[in-house]
Amino acid sequence: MRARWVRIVACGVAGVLVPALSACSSAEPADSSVTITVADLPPTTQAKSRQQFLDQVAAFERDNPKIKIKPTDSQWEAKTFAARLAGGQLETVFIVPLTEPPGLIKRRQVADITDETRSLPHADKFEERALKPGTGTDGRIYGLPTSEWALGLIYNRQLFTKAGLDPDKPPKTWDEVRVAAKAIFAKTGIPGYAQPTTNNTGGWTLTAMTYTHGGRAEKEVDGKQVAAFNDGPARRTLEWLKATRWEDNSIGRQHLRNGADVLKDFSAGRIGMTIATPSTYGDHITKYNGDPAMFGVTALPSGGTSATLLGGKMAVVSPKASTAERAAAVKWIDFRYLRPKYDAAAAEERAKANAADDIPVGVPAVPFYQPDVVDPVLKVEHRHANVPLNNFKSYTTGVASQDFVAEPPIAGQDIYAALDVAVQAVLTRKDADPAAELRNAEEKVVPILERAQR
Amino acid sequence: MTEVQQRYTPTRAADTATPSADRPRPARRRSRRRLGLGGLVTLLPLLLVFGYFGWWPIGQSVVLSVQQTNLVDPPAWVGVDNFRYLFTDPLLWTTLRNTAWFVVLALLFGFPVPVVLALFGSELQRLGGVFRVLVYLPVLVPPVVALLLWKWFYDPDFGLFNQVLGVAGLDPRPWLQSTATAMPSLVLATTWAHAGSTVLIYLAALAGVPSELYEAAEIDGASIWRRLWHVTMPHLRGVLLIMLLLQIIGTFQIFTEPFILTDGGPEDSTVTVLLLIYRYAFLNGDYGTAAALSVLLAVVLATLSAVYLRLTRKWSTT
Amino acid sequence: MSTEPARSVLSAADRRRPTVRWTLRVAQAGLLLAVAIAGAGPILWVAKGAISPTLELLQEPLRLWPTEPEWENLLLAWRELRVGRYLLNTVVLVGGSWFVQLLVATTGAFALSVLRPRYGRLVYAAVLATLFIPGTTSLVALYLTILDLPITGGSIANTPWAVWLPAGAQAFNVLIMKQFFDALPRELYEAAMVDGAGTWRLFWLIVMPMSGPIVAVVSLLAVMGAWKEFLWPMVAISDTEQQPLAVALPRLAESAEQNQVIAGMLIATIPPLVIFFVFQRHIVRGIGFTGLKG
Repeated sequence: MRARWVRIVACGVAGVLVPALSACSSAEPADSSVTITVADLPPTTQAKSRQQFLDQVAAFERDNPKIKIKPTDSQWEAKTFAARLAGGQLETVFIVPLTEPPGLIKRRQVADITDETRSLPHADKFEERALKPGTGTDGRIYGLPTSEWALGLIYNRQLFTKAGLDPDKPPKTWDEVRVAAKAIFAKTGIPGYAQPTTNNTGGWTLTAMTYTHGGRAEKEVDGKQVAAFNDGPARRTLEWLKATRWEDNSIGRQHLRNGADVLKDFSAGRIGMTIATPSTYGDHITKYNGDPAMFGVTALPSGGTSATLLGGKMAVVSPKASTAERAAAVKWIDFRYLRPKYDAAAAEERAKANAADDIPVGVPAVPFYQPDVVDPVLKVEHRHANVPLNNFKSYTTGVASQDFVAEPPIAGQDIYAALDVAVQAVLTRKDADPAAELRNAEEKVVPILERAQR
Repeated sequence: MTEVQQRYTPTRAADTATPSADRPRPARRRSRRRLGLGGLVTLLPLLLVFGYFGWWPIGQSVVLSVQQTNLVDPPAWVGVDNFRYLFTDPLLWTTLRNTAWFVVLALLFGFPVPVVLALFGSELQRLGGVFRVLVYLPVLVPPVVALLLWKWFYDPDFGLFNQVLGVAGLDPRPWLQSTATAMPSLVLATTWAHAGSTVLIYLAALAGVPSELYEAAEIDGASIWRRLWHVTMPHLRGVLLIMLLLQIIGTFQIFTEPFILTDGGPEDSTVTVLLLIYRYAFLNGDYGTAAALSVLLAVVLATLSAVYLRLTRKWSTT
Repeated sequence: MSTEPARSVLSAADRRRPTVRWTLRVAQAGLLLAVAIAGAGPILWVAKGAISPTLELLQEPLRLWPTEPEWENLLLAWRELRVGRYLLNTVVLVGGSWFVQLLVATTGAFALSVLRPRYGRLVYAAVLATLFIPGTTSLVALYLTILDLPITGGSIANTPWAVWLPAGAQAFNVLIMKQFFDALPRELYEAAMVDGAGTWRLFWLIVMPMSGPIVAVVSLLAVMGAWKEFLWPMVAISDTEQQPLAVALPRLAESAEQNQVIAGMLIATIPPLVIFFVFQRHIVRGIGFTGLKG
């Protein structure tokens, strides 16, 4: 702070003496201006969010005249990432799901932004569990959270009522989920629960469920990560799925679909419950035209351990960015994604704008900062909430006491892919043996894990 | 070119290349000469396009297979590491098993269908044209459209097939949702999509059976079945073997069907070689291993193509 | 070439026998019906599905005609799913692929067959060699190639060039084109050259005017093939705005209303059907030409 004052004063003096001294025209470092590209511009189909984004870009450029922002509406996709990276089309700032940073960091395909992050406001007050997915095994920071949610259970409140269940008392344990699924199927003929199984979403949800049984997907042995899922917790989860599928027959027959397929069916009222983050409320409303009153969400049910898995998105910076571009990139991340999480005034402005544009406000999220920073911000947000806050209550109270377990740090996607198969097995083959399926999955990931840590 | 045509490309090559290559051409030596500027320009599109997008990627596959790259840093040489890793991946063996199973299934029901259709079709007199159009229609539907449609038909709860079974008083089947029936369902969809062009090829072959042979057999008092067995089938044998070989070559390159219908599931029972390559490269960012598998695939396919060429050459000279 | 056999297994005498005639008639009627259901049925179902409400499709997929046809569905698909845009992308990609394939095949075959340069045989052998290694095996390398072109550098990924140019490396086109040129009377070229015709006049005024049939065959193969492409355009063009319809449809099917997706499927199917019915004769001949003779 002091250095900046000195510079401004010095410039003021210099400005009097040499009016043309361009180096002092702003408080920014005196080098020439920098242009960065940023992803995440909402598509034209979401005109209001898009306009907000563009307004923020304009505001940011006003505050930082030396930085030019070029927004693009590209979305993260594993397949296209390589093309954009190698083709030099990758944005300086791009947004990835929380499942991605470990792999990107390992392959050194994202930039180290530790130093830039340390100079941000409240950098010392980050909530550690929110920052963790973007932190490498070397302790350096490679990504900053943009939105994070703890996985929970979303359920159709209307189907609950039809099945004679109380929508305000959603299931707290997997046993209760099973009972509810049975009731929904018996009364309505609609599958009471749905489990995604393809594109790694099967392994991902299985991992979260395993956490609730006190298990892990990976553990550290002698400084190396090894597979840990071939164990009681994951087996109990698979047995639970098997029982709902073949004993209760309450979860339908369609079991080859990914998370997006399941969500689409949920919004269309064709599924009773599934694992998802509360943020899916946004897609439920804007993308699938779902009924707001139908959407219920609660904390991830317990299998004996109160735990959940973190989901959401993170902003990362291109490994090809120059030092100046990297600095500008982190500045933008702070402006667009972090400031509304620590600055009550900024939060109010955002919330008002969102509410005016019918974008959901008040969906519970994982705080990025410690309570003393976050609490005033939350208060403001709730004042402008436009979602049925009551329907989120059991989620908020449930999550508060949950342990947040991170994604498997090494080769997480490969582990999910191997576990997809186990989930598919118990849901499509009546005689599938959960223990054998886990053994097979372990056999698959052992060479992968070894290779990744060589 | 379509997937089918790409898969089947060597056919035509061998088929048409052989006679001309063997034909003596006395004038050739005299006419070989230096290209003028105009001549070079006419060869340039071919050289550029094949150079960049034909020959270079083939060589590059081999190079990539002994490298690891993250597309940011310069690639690292890793020797046979990619291959070693590939052979420790149980999925590779699953994939090979799946490929063999696909071929067997295609033999069981994908193979006889076009033959029977062609035999019947060749007996149609006035309606022959209508028959050919109807049979060829599925070939015209873009594969993605066809597969999305089949996915819809196969849906265990709302799909057309289970509804038809329901009307017939039968239990619903899991179709794509079971390791036992997923691959057969896939082969059924593939057969539907490709049978049309195979039928037309068989029809052409049937038309090539000399009438005198039938007449001679008839005079000898051979029944219809005996004529079919002793005159028609021997004539088709060559084409049948070729189609079988092409089927195998094609099976190694199946991608769109499992990609759209099953994503390789359930339990990896429909993962194909190309789907595995795709996963390595575009989902895991492991270009080295993807290239290693590509090289192995290329070796297998080149061998099959060479066998194929030998077979067709033998026939065309007899 | 006629695909109508002079005669088949059955002789005129056989056909006069009542048992044969009736068995044959019944079998043929059954078979034609089956082929009609299997061949035309799914296409008609798509047409029906495109104008049916989604709920009805789910509940009564066997229904022959929607209770209330929703014709506006096609318009919705065109506007909201922007099927028109993707269709245009497809047309652009197919058109460019067609042009590049034709350019490479005609000029290349002309040089190899008519001009016969010194290294022609080597080049031709190298072209034929690629027939043994199907393009799918160099998918990954080709992808990295378009990301960073050798020698010149630069990326053509996400541009139509990434689809157009690799489409040209189609050895089969060069092969049949060259064989066609080989079969043309050589005296013609020699006479023209004696008259002082240059390379271009030879190409444009002598060879091309005689190549109508083969150009038609290659064009049909190119267009019908490019229309069906899926894997390569999906890999090469990641920008959703530029994707062809075949690549966009599976993505749209994940989120859009089902009957609108089916309307999109119908729209994607119509152009190849139209081309087929217009050029039916050539296509059947093309299959005979490129197919196998046992």
